[in-house]
Amino acid sequence: MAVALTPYGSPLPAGASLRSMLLIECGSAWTHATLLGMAEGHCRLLSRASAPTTHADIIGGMYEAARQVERVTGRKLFAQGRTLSPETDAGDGVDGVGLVLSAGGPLHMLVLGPGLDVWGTGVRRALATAAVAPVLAPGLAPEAYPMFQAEPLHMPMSQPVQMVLLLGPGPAAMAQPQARAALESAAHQALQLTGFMTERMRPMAFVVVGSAEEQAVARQVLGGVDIIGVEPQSPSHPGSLTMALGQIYEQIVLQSVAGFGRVRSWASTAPISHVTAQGRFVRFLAQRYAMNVLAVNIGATGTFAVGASAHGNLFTTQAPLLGVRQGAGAVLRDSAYAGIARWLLDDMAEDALREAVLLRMTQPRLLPVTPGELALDHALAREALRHVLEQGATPGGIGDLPRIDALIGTGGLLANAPTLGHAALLLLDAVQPRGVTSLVLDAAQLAAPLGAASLLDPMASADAVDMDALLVQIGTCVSTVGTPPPGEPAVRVVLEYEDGHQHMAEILAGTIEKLPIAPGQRARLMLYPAPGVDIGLGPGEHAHAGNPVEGGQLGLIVDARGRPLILPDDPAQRRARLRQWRAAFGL
Amino acid sequence: MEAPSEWLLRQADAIERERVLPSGRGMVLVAVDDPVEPEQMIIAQGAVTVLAGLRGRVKRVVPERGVVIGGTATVIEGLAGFGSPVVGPLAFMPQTGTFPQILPPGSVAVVPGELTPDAMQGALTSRVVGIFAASAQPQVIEALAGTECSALLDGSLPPTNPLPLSVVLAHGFGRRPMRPEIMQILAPYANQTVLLNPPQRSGSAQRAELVIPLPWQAVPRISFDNAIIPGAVVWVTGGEFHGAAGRVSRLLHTGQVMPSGIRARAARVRLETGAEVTLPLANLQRVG
Repeated sequence: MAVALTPYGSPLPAGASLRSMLLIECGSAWTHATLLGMAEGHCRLLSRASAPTTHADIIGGMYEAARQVERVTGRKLFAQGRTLSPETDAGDGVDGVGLVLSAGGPLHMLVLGPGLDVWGTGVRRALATAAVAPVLAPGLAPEAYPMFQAEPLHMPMSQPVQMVLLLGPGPAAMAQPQARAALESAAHQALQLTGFMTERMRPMAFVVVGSAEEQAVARQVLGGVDIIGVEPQSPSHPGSLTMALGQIYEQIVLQSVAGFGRVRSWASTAPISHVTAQGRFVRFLAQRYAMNVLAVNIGATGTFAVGASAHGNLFTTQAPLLGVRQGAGAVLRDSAYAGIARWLLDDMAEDALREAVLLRMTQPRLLPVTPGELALDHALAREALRHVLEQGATPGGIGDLPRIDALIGTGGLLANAPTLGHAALLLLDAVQPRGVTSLVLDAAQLAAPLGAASLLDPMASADAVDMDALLVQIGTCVSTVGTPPPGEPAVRVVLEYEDGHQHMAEILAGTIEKLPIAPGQRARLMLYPAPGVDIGLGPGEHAHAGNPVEGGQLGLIVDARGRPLILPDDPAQRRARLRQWRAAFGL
Repeated sequence: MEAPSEWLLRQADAIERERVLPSGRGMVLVAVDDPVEPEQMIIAQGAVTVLAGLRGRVKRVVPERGVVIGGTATVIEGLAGFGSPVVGPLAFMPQTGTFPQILPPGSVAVVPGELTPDAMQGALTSRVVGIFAASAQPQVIEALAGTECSALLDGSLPPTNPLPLSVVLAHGFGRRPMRPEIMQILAPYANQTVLLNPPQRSGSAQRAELVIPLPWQAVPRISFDNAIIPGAVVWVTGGEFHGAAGRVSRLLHTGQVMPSGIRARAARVRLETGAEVTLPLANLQRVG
């Protein structure tokens, strides 16, 4: 590749902690600017503003968002058309500028080679760090390689293949003539496929994953093609593939975003994706609080889930083209009319639903004004998230997260939900956690900017997380698995408050209920599930919490609807259930 | 949150448009700085030719890619478009009548309302190269392309059938008439050569548009501002009043709770019907 990148324009001061940071996130619909700075010895959130993303030139939206921050804080952030950096003695400018970019859409990638089984887990981890839309070469069935979450290659192609990823059979297999032959054959196939492509459709990067020997074999077949060779450390560790993908994404996708070159010249570090930024935030929380954390984000174009274990392992699953605006068509195709309409309380004809989806695709910044529009947005969100989590239930995905202690809803759709009840019900319907889980909302939408800030100054970012992350504790949720004997409640719940009084409730199977524990209030929780019902310790096993549970905005939520959550087929029964569940949250 | 982003109508705007080689190879017939006329052939590739579609000058010639032309034009952006860029004289399809209506072959037809199956049949029979319509039901586009509309929009599938003509929908899908403001702009340009330009790649910055070339550098550029301010004429782009036009009475400085329950920055808008309603800024498009 011979694409020149402009230099970063705001180099970080060496060795010193930063006094201030400007974090700019450019999504497919909205652009946000967040200013962090020192106040009373701590790194604090000073201001945050939003503006529509301007696709004709992303500079416009970024300026508008940053200008709003300037107006609110009185701090001058720009001088002579670029960011003012480092911070001046007068308190203008910032020491560091971080970029989170998703506006360019995904990197369309053709995946092939005999090593799909060999390198799958590690490659998947690398692919999860960038917005990637993989397609598998003809002859490879996507369902046979679920870890790639790929589509088959359609001919004629509707999108250019921007990168080819050729996976060698692994160093151990190369001694076998058939493995070598398979690699040569795959390289020939890649040449053949790209040879049919017009200049506009032809890939700009060719990556070969394998040992030096595998790379040499591929080079021999590919002749004059400029190859980037990557040798993973192990089948589960992608090695430098993550870094190579980041550079390729920047050079191919982001370079084609109008205005990117200028925005890059504002930045102190390489731009990162929303997934990577939130991954850094989630990993920090998981390690800080020694718990397994899952964060989910439903966006206009894409949806993702990022999980981190208490040990710091990161699991990500994303669908860059599955969302509630530009990505709504993919949700409709995946879930079909019935899959989306089942979440709606009111009848909506198939044609009307399709038209509403197309409206969302063509006007991504529309806000839902009527209750019906909001209900459709949330139905699309439930299905997008459900699909992503299903995709993640493969090796290397978030399905590897042992259990979910804390579930965080991030992104604008959840943060702007009319009530916490809307957000809680959406999360429970789509994620369907099991056992005991804390529900949390990133109400100020700071997960991505704080994750990006950790690249600039990890200590200051951690400080800001502690001081200002504004994570709203929705409440603790107990979710049951299994069906009780007919006529019996699914679980009996006893709450013993610190003042000694008790609250007891029997929760019927198929229902969801809120029990009172106010924010800041603590209570000992005792759970007595019916035979066959599991609350995380095994069927029928009682639980007496060792530590008191903390209250949240919605108290203690007991979800006795069972897992997997099944909606009745009969429309009247289904609507009755939906109304009952909504009523539990006052909706 | 937020003001709407772009104008739908940009009159006498200085623009640059890329005219792309159909398959990466072909003969470019113009050089940098050459003046070009809309009907002028600028690329030849066997039987396939590419017309300039703009009045202006050649700014760049990009080998194996195409030609960039700079000029002055009135641009009307649409919400959706399908097919490849086409050039032809602007023709108007009657609002009502018996189809098929016969239009000049090779023209770009304006359909002032919904692109019905009959209107589509009329256009096909007339062998027009493109249609600029107010709206269409998805099924009409799907019958033409053989592919589901959402897949065409997000680029996940190509058209199954090669499209015999290109389509741009000013107001997107559904049954919406053309806003009278657009018809007023188009009316003087009957028979003038125009460029109908559907987006060539999903997710790109390019939007569907109808480009009306103007005399090169002869018209002063009209400055415009997309901010929603009191007195601005706006179109409502979603919700209960979708498709209505109105005038902003005042901006509301605190977030307003909509019937859906969400809170948004909003304006009071007096609609054409006389009703005054509160609408989120994000669902308003300034047109005057």
